[in-house]
Amino acid sequence: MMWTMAFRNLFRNKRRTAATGAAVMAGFIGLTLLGGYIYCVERGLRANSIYLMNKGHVTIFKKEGLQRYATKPSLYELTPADQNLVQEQLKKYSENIDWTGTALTGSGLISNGVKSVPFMAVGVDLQTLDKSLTHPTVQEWAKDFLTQDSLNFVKAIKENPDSISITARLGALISRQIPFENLPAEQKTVQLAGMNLYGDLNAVDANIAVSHTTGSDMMEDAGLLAPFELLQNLYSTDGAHYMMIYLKDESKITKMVSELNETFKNQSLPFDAYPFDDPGISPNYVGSMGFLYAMAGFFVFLICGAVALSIVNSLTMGILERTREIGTFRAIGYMPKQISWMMTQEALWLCVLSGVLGIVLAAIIVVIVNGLYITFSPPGVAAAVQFTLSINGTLVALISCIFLLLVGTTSYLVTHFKLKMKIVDLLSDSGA
Amino acid sequence: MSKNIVLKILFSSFFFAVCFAQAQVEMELLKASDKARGSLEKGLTWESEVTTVEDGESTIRKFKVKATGVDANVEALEPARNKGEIYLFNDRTMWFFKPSLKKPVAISSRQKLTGQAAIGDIASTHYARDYNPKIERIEKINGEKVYVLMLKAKANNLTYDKIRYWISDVSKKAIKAEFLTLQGKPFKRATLEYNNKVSSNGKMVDFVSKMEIVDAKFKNNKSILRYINPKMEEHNKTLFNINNLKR
Amino acid sequence: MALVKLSGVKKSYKLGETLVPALRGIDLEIRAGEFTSVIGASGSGKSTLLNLVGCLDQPTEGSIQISGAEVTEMNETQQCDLRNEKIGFIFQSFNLVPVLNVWENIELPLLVKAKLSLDERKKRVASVISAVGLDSFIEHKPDQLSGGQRQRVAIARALVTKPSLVLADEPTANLDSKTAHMILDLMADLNKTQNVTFLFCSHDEKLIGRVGRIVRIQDGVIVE
Repeated sequence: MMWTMAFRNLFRNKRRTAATGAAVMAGFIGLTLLGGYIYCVERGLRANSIYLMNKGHVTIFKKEGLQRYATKPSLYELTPADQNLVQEQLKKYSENIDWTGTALTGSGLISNGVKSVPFMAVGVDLQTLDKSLTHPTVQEWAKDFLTQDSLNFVKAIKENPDSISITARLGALISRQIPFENLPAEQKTVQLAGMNLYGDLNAVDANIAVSHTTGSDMMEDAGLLAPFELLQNLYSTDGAHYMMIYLKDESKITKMVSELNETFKNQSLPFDAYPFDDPGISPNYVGSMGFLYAMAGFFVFLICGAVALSIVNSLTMGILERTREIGTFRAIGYMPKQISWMMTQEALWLCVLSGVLGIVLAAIIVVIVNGLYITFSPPGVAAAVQFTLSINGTLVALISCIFLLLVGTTSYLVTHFKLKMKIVDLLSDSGA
Repeated sequence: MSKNIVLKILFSSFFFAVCFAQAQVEMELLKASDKARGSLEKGLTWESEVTTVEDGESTIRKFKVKATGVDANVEALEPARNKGEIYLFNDRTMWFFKPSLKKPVAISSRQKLTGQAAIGDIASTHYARDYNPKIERIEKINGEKVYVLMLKAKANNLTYDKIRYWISDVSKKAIKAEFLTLQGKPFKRATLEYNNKVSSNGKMVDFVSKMEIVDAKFKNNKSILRYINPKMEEHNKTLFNINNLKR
Repeated sequence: MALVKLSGVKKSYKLGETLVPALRGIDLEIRAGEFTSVIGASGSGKSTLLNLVGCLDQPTEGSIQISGAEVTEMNETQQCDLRNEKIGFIFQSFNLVPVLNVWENIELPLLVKAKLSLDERKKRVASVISAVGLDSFIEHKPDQLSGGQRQRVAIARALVTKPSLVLADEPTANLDSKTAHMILDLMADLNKTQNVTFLFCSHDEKLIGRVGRIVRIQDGVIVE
């Protein structure tokens, strides 16, 4: 009956209940949508980092290769023998490994026969390119980072192993406009020049096949994606900069990295394993998410504070109005904590009703916003990304728990301190 | 009033004349030093051997250089993996080509060739054309009067932005150079020797035989350019035509 | 043995810097089954006396025993138990919970400890509702009842735990005289049939005729 009484008490002052409920509901909607947005961004950046930036879930470098490869590539490359050693260690994880790949990175000049401009290249094996670009995770969360003809890249490489993909901005710098597939054959042919691992200047022919976006504004003027073998040719090496491991179960990343590093250390193998969310591997992901989490934390604090204060205000007024009633409960034998619990039940009812309504409204907002297809270019991002909201069940459950805990605790504490009056004083109070 | 103006005009004229004369002297010094490094009226051919010592490791590369006026064709001879590579200099534009390429690649003269030597060091002999000289000071080296000139690049695409250049007043040859960043800090130093002779206008003139370029910070890292068998030779203009490099 | 025994009970209130004595030394015994009224003018200390007997307040000095137990030495939990199981309260303003109906208001004291099973609870509530004659008003909320009906609900609530003592502070003050007499008759009837001890206070001398015992209080001391 107490829950029934608590529910009915909500309607004693409908205006105040509505106002407090609206505050709780707004807080609920705010946190749900903010959480949903951050969830979408995180999934998108994660997919971009793992699949489109070709880092994999776990990345293996020669020891200190992450930091030093650029200055001394010949010392820090993964030779074929090194790659075999790594593959040996990966055998015990084969059940969870979707596939492994190899990548080479480097810089140089891309020339159209008249002028040259710098490029930053990543050379990736064909299997990785094929599986990454068509991966369901990418299609679901990061399709904003795919250009229209990105998906044709693998087909182009199979037809011509010298095919490369460059960003539209790099193309413009060498006077090549998208779509590149419409260019005449002689305009598609370019030369890539760079210092090879011997320290000599080297150059190879390449064929501009498709365009892509790096996702990062800083890299968009120099982004170049090439087949692994083409870059090996350019840099005169049979090695790789790093190996990528793509997992079926992402929850095992941390454990795998830890175990691999332990194995490398124990067997004196000169390799380092990193998770994709290491700042050195995916600075964009780590930086962006760090900022978003900090911002979210700030908003959670603000919203929870506002909700708590609304509850405090509402309950305080409620107690003031029902002092004599509370005195009566005390007189007929109710303990102060039982009365605190009664008032807390009211607040919890309000929280639940506001929460349910909040979820429904949030869902409506999500449908509307996603349907409007709003796009924007976040700072530092080259692509125009859709402003997407979503409602994540786990997040909603978490927010609900937080709110119930917050509301319950706040209301219990408020009533607990407020009810320290003597019974005779409670009974003689005329109330607000 | 008019007397003042006349005096001012006379004084200004004298001042500018002195400055102009000074500028002429500086330019003449630079032109004279260029001659000993290849800026001669006819074409030249020489072999260039570049020995690089970097982090204790030594490598040797050989090139054949053919230059006429502002153009140069540098062909790699050794090691075998680089044989057939060509660096083409057209005035201040530079190209890299190798037989497997369909077209040459436009590169910068600052592009590292090997060790401390940039591509522009191999054939760059026209400091008088590319730099504005100014005498900073006069020094005495081995009892000899030496002009220390500050050379400032006339264009952005030259090998170096600033060079501090020591030219002997006696021989009119550059004996030392400091290559500076835009901020004026030296990042490489070079010394030159002139033990070669070439025939120019019926006379035997001194020609550079060695240029040693050392890293300003890590003095053990250096590149030594040796100029071997220089001789005057007429070259066909097609040798310097970029279109002849295309497949 | 007396059901209620007060010995040398004093109570003073602090009003700013001043200490105001409400009771100046009360010695009183109430036996089980008595129907006693405390009569006195406004401010004489009768409500204070009832509050102290009901453990709604603490005396400044003196001893209060209920069924032989010294209430001034009880902790809060013991006093709550005493109020819930042994004492019933009837208030001047009825003090019903407006969102609960008649049945639910009466059932409230039984839910404190929830010792009774559902069936026992239902029987108990039905029994007291019948005793006060409100069988037809079970679903009614307090704002749908008259003053007399509300007070009957309050009486039923006070009796549902089968207390030894019912304390009523000015139970008829907010009622018209006809209703007031009806309520008093009901209380007297319950006192006889259920052997519940009633101690109530009133300033209305017209109601004296129905009570078994009168305790007159004046300026904080019992005069009669």
